[in-house]
Amino acid sequence: MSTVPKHSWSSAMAPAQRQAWFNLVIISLALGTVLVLTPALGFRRAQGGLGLVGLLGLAPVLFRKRAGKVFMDERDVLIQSRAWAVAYALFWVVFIAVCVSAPFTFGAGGAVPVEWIQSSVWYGFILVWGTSSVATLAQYWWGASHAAE
Amino acid sequence: MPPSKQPGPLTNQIRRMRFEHGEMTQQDLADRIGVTRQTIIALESGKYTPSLLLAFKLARAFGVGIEVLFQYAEESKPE
Repeated sequence: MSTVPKHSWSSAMAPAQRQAWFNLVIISLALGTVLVLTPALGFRRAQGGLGLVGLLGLAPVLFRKRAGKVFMDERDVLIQSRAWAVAYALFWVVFIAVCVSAPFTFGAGGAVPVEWIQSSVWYGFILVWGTSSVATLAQYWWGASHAAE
Repeated sequence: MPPSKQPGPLTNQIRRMRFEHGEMTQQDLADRIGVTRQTIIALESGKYTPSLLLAFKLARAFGVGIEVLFQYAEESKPE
């Protein structure tokens, strides 16, 4: 229809959608780097690839509010809040599952390697941000959101 | 033009109103009421039910009452 202008790939998405894709690309890049480096460097040293997650810090610069453009409206805020709720809920489920299952893996009097604890911070961060991003994209795809319930 | 196909009891005439108001684009309407174009798309396709505040803004943008733009279909109750 003539009244519907052509939109570029980026403008066809809300800013929060673009940021969610950016997050997933960075997380995939970091995890991919760890996977590729592990055979050559070993598990512990390959964890350095997780440092790429720091690129997520560029998001506020890349996806900042532009003059005269709506950055986030009530639907975006709703989608974001639900996405974070899903992410934190999953984090707690995984956290509890890991803690409860630890004695079965290491034994009741066993010791958890310190480097695993250090890495768990990064993986927890990735889990929360990754889940939040996936939940954000899922809501934009399937919609079915209501301002008030 | 029939009202937007909506899964819930709330239907709207946003698409029809846009065409009746000089074939206003989704982006024009979005800019006018301060939302993203994606929200207008979601509203028209029935994927999003707006807040009361946004519903009023939409109605004002077209210069009509809120009940002209939105219709609530009573759900049939089992006897």
